Amino acid sequence: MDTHIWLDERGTRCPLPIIALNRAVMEHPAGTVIALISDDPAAKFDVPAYCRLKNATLLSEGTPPGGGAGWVFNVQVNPTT
Amino acid sequence: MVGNWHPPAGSLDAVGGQPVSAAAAGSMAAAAAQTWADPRALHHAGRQAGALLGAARSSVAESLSASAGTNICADEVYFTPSVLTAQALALAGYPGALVMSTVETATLLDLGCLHPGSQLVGVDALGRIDPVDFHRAAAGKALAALQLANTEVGTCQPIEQVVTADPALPIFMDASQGIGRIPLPQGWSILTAGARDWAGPAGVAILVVRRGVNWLPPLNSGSGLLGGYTDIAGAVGAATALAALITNQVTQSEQAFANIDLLRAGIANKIPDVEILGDPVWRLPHILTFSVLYISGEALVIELDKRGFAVASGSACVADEARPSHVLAAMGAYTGGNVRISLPLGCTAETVAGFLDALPSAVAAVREDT
Repeated sequence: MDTHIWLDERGTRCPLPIIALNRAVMEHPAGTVIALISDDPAAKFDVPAYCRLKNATLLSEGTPPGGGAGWVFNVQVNPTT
Repeated sequence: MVGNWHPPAGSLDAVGGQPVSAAAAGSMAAAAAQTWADPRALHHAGRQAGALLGAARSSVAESLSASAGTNICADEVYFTPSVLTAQALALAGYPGALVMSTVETATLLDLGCLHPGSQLVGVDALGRIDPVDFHRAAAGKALAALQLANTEVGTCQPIEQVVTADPALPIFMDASQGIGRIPLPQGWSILTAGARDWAGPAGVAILVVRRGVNWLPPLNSGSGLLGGYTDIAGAVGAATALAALITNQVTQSEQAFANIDLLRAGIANKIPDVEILGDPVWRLPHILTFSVLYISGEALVIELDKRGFAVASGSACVADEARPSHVLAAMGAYTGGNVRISLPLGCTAETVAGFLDALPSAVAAVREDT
């Protein structure tokens, strides 16, 4: 029922993955799940920190579909209060 | 007004380095002409070098005694050519497994890997270990390594609580950046620090081994020489610089603490989407770290440099191995757009105010370019 969108930021480096994630969080309604794929070593730390600081929840993180380096972060847009 | 130190305007990277104080430079130059001989030799020139080395050890011991409020003797103090050498000697004297925090300096963590069975203890969001966790992990270990305070985020570690929990556990305390800035705790067995931390020469560090601890001196060449031939003139300069700082510790620290408080409040107020890191209260007086979302740490350091301010960064783009600072990572902090400010001794209120004025436009310039 929630929209699930993919954001493939493989190959980009800090701060670009977080800028892309933030743009998606701002543009989509609450409940949307954004699957961010990143191979930036900083993303491992900065995606959880972004979710703690901003209007989003990190639901899970795993390996990218089809394998390869990096992670997929499932981030849900929180309701704005 | 701010003592014997005159750092260049805009210098906010004391951890990276600060000018050697004039008093230290003068005493080094005078000592250099009298300390070229082997301090262990029995001839006149050797005895002269030996006497100056002994005086430097006594002076450092007196400074440390004043800071710790306990009597530390000259024969507990050794000079080494680098902090790394001092750390390696400290650990080499304790064969066996270690326990250390995840936020020790990178060199110490590397050295710890040479001790099989060693264990790391994580930190909270402020960068501090939990003394109960640390005590549990220390069971059966030969040595615990715990810093006085973190040099990246300034957070102090609960050394005295760890000592109280197990007085028999030997503690190796890396006193980098904390020495001369805050009072030293008691109960540790070994201390290391570099003279550049207190505006002394770069090629001198100290290793302090308390009397009666079960440390086995490695590579002992006798007569207080450890870790290679001692730069006696450098040791004299280091001792002079430390004595000057200990004398002014309270004034320097109060000024720095207030300036960092101003910066913490000002940055939070002026910069949107910023995370200010480290303990706001139980911290080193002169260190502040923050991360600005959506910008590159490297670009921000360069923009600030264009505006006349020298700062450091723990972001991945500034690091050698393209990985963010292990300290920020251990804290779960945001690592992008990171800036570390460390006030040099004698840092003026004008530099601090100027930085607060320049930061918003530097951040805006980087955000526009991104």
